[in-house]
Order: sequence, then structure tokens, then C-alpha cells
Amino acid sequence: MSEPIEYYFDFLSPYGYLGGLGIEEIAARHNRAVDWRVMLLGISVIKVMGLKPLPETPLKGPYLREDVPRFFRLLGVPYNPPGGGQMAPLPAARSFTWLKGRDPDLAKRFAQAVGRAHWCEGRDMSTPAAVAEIGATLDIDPAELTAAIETDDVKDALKRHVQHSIDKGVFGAPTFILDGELFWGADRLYQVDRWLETGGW
Amino acid sequence: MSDPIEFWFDFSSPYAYIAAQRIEAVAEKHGRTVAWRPFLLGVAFRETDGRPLTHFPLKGPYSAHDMARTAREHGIDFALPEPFPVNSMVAARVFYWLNDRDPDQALAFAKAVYRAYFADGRNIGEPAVVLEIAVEQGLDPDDLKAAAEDPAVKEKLKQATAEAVQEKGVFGAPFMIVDGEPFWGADRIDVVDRWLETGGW
Repeated sequence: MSEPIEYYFDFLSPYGYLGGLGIEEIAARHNRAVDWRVMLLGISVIKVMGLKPLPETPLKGPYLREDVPRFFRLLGVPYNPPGGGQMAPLPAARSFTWLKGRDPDLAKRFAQAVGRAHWCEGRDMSTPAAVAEIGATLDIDPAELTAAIETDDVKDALKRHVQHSIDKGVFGAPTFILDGELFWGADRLYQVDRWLETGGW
Repeated sequence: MSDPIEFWFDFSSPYAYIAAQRIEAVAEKHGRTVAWRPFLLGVAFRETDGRPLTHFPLKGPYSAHDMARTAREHGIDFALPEPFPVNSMVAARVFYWLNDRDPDQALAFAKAVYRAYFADGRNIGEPAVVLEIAVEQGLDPDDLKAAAEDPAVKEKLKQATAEAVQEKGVFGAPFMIVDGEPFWGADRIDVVDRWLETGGW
């Protein structure tokens, strides 16, 4: 039985969101499961690699602001983020972590719904209240969720997951790890597909 | 008559080397030409990340692995050379001097430089090696020594780099500009193909 494909994402990354859409479709065609794993670009990019956030990097930031909507258009996914497209990911990341500990499939559906709300429907998912509202549509008790994400247990669990992603060499979102091979970028989904098809090269 | 596709590259860039093996076929397929524009990536790095890609933790090792994997995917001869990266200034100057006189010869020279560095592991940062390559291409070494020292040629490269970084937002290599539309990365060659096919989206 093949191992699940590990898919690493940060809620604040629109490319990460596209990665989530693509990987599920590809995995289904190859009869593989996908293990959704949260990471934080704030740690990998800023702390570990010492870089500025991409949107704040000269030259790259402006390119990104053109490339993201263009990428969404290419894939036929509506691009409609709230405000300037920024997102504070911690409430969503903590919520996902809490849910994953109880029901990984529910956690995945929660992440997909949060991503869709933020990137496609213009709803800012940066607050506990916003993600709790999404949770409620999946029958997750909002009071339970907002309380859980304030606990040390959940905060520590997220820190552990983030450290695990760093230990695995994950620096960007989305990242896919399958059969020991790491692929970074939503623009490498085709390559993941090909790797699964051919067994690699 | 359509404008040429601008192909901005640095002789020291592995991803640009990979893209250089593919861009012409894509252009030809759509009845377009390629304007080869070497520039100094180091100047762009000063504005953005501050260091070459392979110098970063996490991303560095991944990139080295990915360059080789991507080259294999397309059947391109590749090995990350030592030393890496090197200062590509002399090769770029010689290119611009040649390009003013004989663009076909300049292109043949560019391809030979890339092959020397990334397929044969020769240090193209050394002026003597660049001259060797030019001589192998049937060019006169005295002409080229003079060219590499010519203030007008030095200025040409300086201007090209300034045009790339200051005017056109070029921050990496390869960087393709198709009818004013920017595409960064060897992994966007197929997207360039599609853009030319469809007229964009």
C-alpha cells in the first residue's frame, strides 16, 4: 500500500490554495491519498531563510501580484481575495491543527472551505470568528473551536507540525512530498502527476 | 511583424541554461524569434534576496536537486559545476560585442558557453576559458580580448542590466517577456507556449 502524498500549505498563500485543489485531483487519478499538513511561511521564509515575505520583496512582490491572478485565471478558479489579499494565518492554522488531531478528513474539508472563502469569495479568514463561522457550516461548534485554539496544547502542536515541516526540508507553499521526492510550487503539479505516472526519472 | 520574445538570462544560471535549451523551439512553433539578453543576476539579487539561490538553507539544497531533476526530465545534459556560481561578466560582454556584429554567431557562442559550464564543467568565470570557447567557435582571440576590455562593451552590459532590473522588473533568470507579459522561471516555458498559442488570458 502506497504512502499518502504529503501536501504542505500555509493558509496565507494563494499558490498554496491552488496546490490543494490540484493535488486532490491528481492523487485521485493515481489512487493515492493526500495527507494535508500545515506549515508557516513566517517561520521557513523569514526565520529560517532570513528572507523578507515575498509580497514585500522589491521586484518579486509586484510580479507576484500579477502572477497570482493570472495563475487562478489559467486554472479557471475565481480570484477574489478580501482587501489586498493578505491573510493572518494563525487562527486558521491552529484550528486546522486542532481538527486534524480529531478527524483528519474534517480538517481537510475545513481547510478547503477556509481557502475557498478567503481566495474566491472575498471573506477575510484572518480572525478566530471568521474561521469559526466556516467551521459551523461543517458542524464544528464555534465556541469549542475558538476556545481550543487559545490552548497551549494546540499552539504547541502547531509549533511541532511546523518544526516537522522544516525538518523535512519544506520551505515554501505548496510543497508535495511523495515517495521521498519533494516538489515545491503550484506550477509543479503537472510534474507530480508525471512522477506518479512514470515512477520518476 | 511581432516583437521578439525577450529572453533575459545570466550565463551562471542553471535554470536559465535549462530554459535556453527549450525557448527557441517554443518561439519557432509560433513563428516568433528570441532576443537573447544576458544580464548580471547579482545586481538583481542586491535588490531582492541578497544571495544566489543555492546559498539559502532549505531552498538551496532543494534547488540543486531540482535543477538536476528538471534537466533529466527534458533530456538536458547537466551537472552543477564547481565553482558555482561564477561572475559571468566577461562572457556577457563578449556576447553583446558579437551580437552587434553577427547575432547568429553570438547565439552560437552563448550556447557554447552554457554547454561549457553546465555540461562540461568548465569555469566560464575565467576570461581565459571564455576566450578558449570563442576560439573554438572560430572567433579571433585578439578581437575578443579587445572586446572584453572595450568601455563601450562594458557600458552595453551595464545598460542591459539596468534595463532589465530597473525598467522591466527582471529579478531572476530565466525571465521571459512575451508581448510585455513577464514570465519568470524555466518551469514557465510551457505557460509561455500556451500564452503564444492562445494570446493570453
